[in-house]
This record gives sequence, structure tokens and C-alpha cells, in this order.
Amino acid sequence: MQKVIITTATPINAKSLASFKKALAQKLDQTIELELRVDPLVIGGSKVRIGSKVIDLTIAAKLAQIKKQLLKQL
Amino acid sequence: MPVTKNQSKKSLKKTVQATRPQSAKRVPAAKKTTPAHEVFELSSLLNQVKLTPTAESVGEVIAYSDGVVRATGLDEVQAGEIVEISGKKFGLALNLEATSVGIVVLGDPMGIEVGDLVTRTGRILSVGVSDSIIGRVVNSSGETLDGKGSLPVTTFMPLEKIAPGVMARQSVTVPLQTGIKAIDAMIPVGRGQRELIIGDRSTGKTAIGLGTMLNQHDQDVICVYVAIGQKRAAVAQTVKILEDRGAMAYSIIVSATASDSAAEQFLAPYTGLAIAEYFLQQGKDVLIIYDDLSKHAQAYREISLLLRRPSGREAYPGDVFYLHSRLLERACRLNEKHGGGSITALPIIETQANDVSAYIPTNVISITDGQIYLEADLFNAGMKPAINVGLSVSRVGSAAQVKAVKQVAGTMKLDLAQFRELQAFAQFSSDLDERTKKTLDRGTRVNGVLKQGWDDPMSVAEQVVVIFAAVNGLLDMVREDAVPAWEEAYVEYLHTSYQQLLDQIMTDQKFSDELNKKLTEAVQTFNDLHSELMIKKEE
Repeated sequence: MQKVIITTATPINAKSLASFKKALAQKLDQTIELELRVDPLVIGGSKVRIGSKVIDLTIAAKLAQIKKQLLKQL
Repeated sequence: MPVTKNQSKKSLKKTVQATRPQSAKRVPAAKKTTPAHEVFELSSLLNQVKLTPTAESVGEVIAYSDGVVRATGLDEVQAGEIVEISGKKFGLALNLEATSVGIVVLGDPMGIEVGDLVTRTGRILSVGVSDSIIGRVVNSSGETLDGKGSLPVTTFMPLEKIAPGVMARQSVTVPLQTGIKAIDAMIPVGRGQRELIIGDRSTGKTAIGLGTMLNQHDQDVICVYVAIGQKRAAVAQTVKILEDRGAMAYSIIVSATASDSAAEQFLAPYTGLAIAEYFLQQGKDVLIIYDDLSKHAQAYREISLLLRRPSGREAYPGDVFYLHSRLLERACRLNEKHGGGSITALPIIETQANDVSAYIPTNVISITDGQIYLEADLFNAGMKPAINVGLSVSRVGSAAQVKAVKQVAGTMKLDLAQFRELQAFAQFSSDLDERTKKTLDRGTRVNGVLKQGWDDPMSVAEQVVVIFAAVNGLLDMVREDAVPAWEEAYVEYLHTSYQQLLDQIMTDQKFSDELNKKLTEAVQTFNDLHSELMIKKEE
């Protein structure tokens, strides 16, 4: 059993949820305990946490990444 | 009420008016003077930004107590890695266990909650350094504390680093002048040496360190003073003294006071050393003073107990020896191929009731290349610096001692030991033969010239001429209570009338027969001129 947390800015729609479930089932090959979180601070996109791994594809994370890299170039 | 309303409106108008012309001015000025390199092509910069999705390893805070966070997850975290707690606080992963990670919080732990996300940074501890750090007061993270603004950073130096290897080193050959007669004459310290200063509380340990720092004003040595677990008032006073005496021009202070967390106190010596190594890389000579390592060991014990590491003797963890040995092992004298710089370490240890066989003192004694042992009894008897000559040693410094000092002070240590023995014996008998009396008289004078104010360092030449006079019996006819006055007047007299002799000692670095003769004459002339300082002859 693997715990998965999906964080989005607005409640996730049924279609996306289904595709998430399908992708996770393919990748993990385990029963999944899914938790859905809503956090407006992520602005957009989604953040998937599987156990102690996080794949962060939210707008907030991208902005943070851009900020970091721009600061480095200055 | 209406009046105030009017007033506020008026003042609002005023401020608007006041700002308007300025802003109006600013715009055309900026258009004219903005240099080309300040204009950013934002889109091209943005094109270079890479946004690749990565799978990050994260964890979650499950417990917090006394500065230590326990977190789950963090699968790939490395030992000693910096982690970020909920994106605002930093911690140091010290304990990696099967199901959790023990993290020491750096800085203020307020606001940490159970469930906070812990992320890896992939960085190990380092401190940002540049040449302009000289004259500054910083904390263990390298942030400035002196209110003089932030520090420009050119290089990051790692806090933990393996000491320079055998092939990169050379033996100690250059003296580090402390300016303290008793030390330079009998317990000489060389550049690259590690000399422990050990003694009870308030016996003048810090004073020796600070005195040595003051004496480096013309020695081309950069000083780093690390204050660990001291009172803030004491650190403020130290900074003030160094500033007043102009010593901050070549010094850096790293401060982790008693009110800072144990983690900061634990890291402070390594920060100081990282700063010292920055200058070592440039081939410079650096002096670092750890004041003191007893408090450092205690801070580390606190961290270890909170992390639930097994405790050993005096509840210190098993690696408390390694804690200090890896620190002091990084003091070194590099060979020419590696820049020829050096780090001289003067660690300070505070003993309880003169007990040098306690755990931490024995550890540090065995790591260092000798110790300067200070005694409360001597201190109370007015012998300042209160150095116990018999128990103090320097294992490598004599190779670096200036030859002139070695020549005049060669037998001093032995003579003083004999004198102390006789002195103890002579307390019981009033009838002494002429020879014993003479030895005692001589010993008293030699002891007398070794007394010195801590903030009154002496140059090599001055030390040589004073010690020369004392060991050769030219002071025997000076009244016991007049020795300090004699010394002061004598040095001044030589500076005015015999400057060439002092210069000759500095250039030759050794003591010739000719110099011996000239100096003897000089002392005798001086003594004849100052009969008020001499013992009155019985007629």
C-alpha cells in the first residue's frame, strides 16, 4: 500500500483524477491510498507526492525555479 | 477634530508635492545615465531558464524537542547535509537512522510544526567569505553581527574538510611572536603550531590570546578569534578592546554566545577555521584562537544527548575526541608548493579546580603540540601572566625560536625551576648561605621581569635585552620592588641611546660576543645613572 497525495489549486475534476489514477496504477503496481489536497498557493498545475518523493509541477514551483535561476545569472 | 483633518490633508498634499518633482526628475535622469549593461533582455534570460520536472526526496517533521527535529522520509539525504524545513528554516542532518532522520535546527526554531515538509538542498555546510571579512564580527553562519551591513561574498568555504595531507606540509620554522616574555622565551610558539592555553576560570587565559592578537600588528598575521558560549557582554568588551587598540584591522571575530543555540556553538570553531583556511589558500599566516573548547564540548554533548546518541565518560559522546582532533588537525604550515601559509591554533580549555586529568583537558592536551598552563595560585600571588613554567611545554616551537632569544633565555627554564625549589625550601630556614641567597636573589629578579601586563606586548629585541640583563645578574643590585620601574626606564633608555643595538638584534637575529659586551656596558651605564632603583649599600 502506497500513500499518494495530489495537491492542486482548485478541486481536481473527474477527468484529470481518472487519468492520474490510471498513470499511478501503471507506475506503482501497488494498491494506492489517494489523498487530494487543495492549496490555492500553488496557483496552478499539480504536485504529486508518492511516499517520500515529490514531483512538483505547480506554477508556484516553476516560478520559484525561474527566480532562482535568474538570480544566479545576475 | 476638523483641524486635525485639515492638517492631515495638508501634510498629505505636502508629501505629494515633495515627492512629485523628485520622481519627475528621476525619470529623465535614468534615461540619460542608465549604462547599457543594466538593461536586461528578460525574454532571452527566460529562454535560458530550464524547467525540468524532477522527483525530489522530501520528509515530514514528526517530532521537535530542544532544537532537534525528527523527520521521516528524506530517503537519499546525506550525513551532514543541510535540509530546509517548511521552506524557511534550515537544519543539519546529523543522525541517519532506519526510519527517521535527526536534524539539528540552525537558528531560531520558532514556528516549526509537526507535519512540516522537510526538503533536501544537496549542500553541505559552508560559509561565505571574501577579503572584506577582515575587521568584522560574524556568527557561525557567517552573517555579520556588527551592524556594519552585509558582507560581499566571493568564495564559499566548507566547514568540514579533511586536514592538509602529509606531503603538503612542512615543519614549523617561523616563530609566532606572542609579545609575552615568559612565552616567547621559554614556551615558544611557531607558526602552524597548536598550543593549548589551559587553566582555571579567571587565570588570564583569554588575556594571553588577546595579548598575542595585539602583538600581531606588525607581524603580517591575520587573527581569527572564536568566542564559544561566552557572555555577550564579554564578547562586546573583547571587540571594543580590539577596536580601540587597532587590532580589528587584521582580525575577524566569530561569535556564538551563551544565548545562541547549541548547534551554533558547536559550529562556530569550524566557521572560524573555514575563514582562516580562506586566507591560508592565499598563502597567508593566520592565528586562530578558540575561546573556549570546554564550552564547545559541552554544546556538542547537549546536541548528542538530544539526538539520543550513546554517552560515555562525563556523558560526552564517543566521538568527542574526534570533534577536537579534526578541528585542530587542520592547523598546519604548508610548504612553498602549496602556498607556504600557516594556521596557528591557540585553543583554550577551562579546568575545574586545576584538574588537568578530566576528560576534555586530557583529550586536547594530547592533540596539541604543547600547553601553557596557568595557575590560580600564581595569579593570586601577583605573578601575571600566571604561567606555571614547570608544567608548560612547547613541543615544536623551539625549532622556530629566534636565535637571539634562545641564546639569552637558554637556561632560564632550568634556573627558574631550581629557584622555585630553593624558594620552597628557604621558607623554613632563616639562615642561608651566601650562594643560596644569591640564587634566590637572581631568581626573584628573573621572575620579576617575566611579569608583564597582558595588553603590553614587547618586541623581540626588547625581550632579548631585558632577559639578557636579568639572567646575567645585571639586575641583582636592583631593588626587588623596583624591577618593573627599572625595566620600563631601561627599555626607554636603550631606545633613546642605544637604538643601534636593538636594530642589530633584529637584523642579525642572533647574539654575538661583541653585542654581549656592548649591551653589558649599556646596562651598567644605565644602572649608574639610576641609583634610586638600586639596593642601598651598607656603609
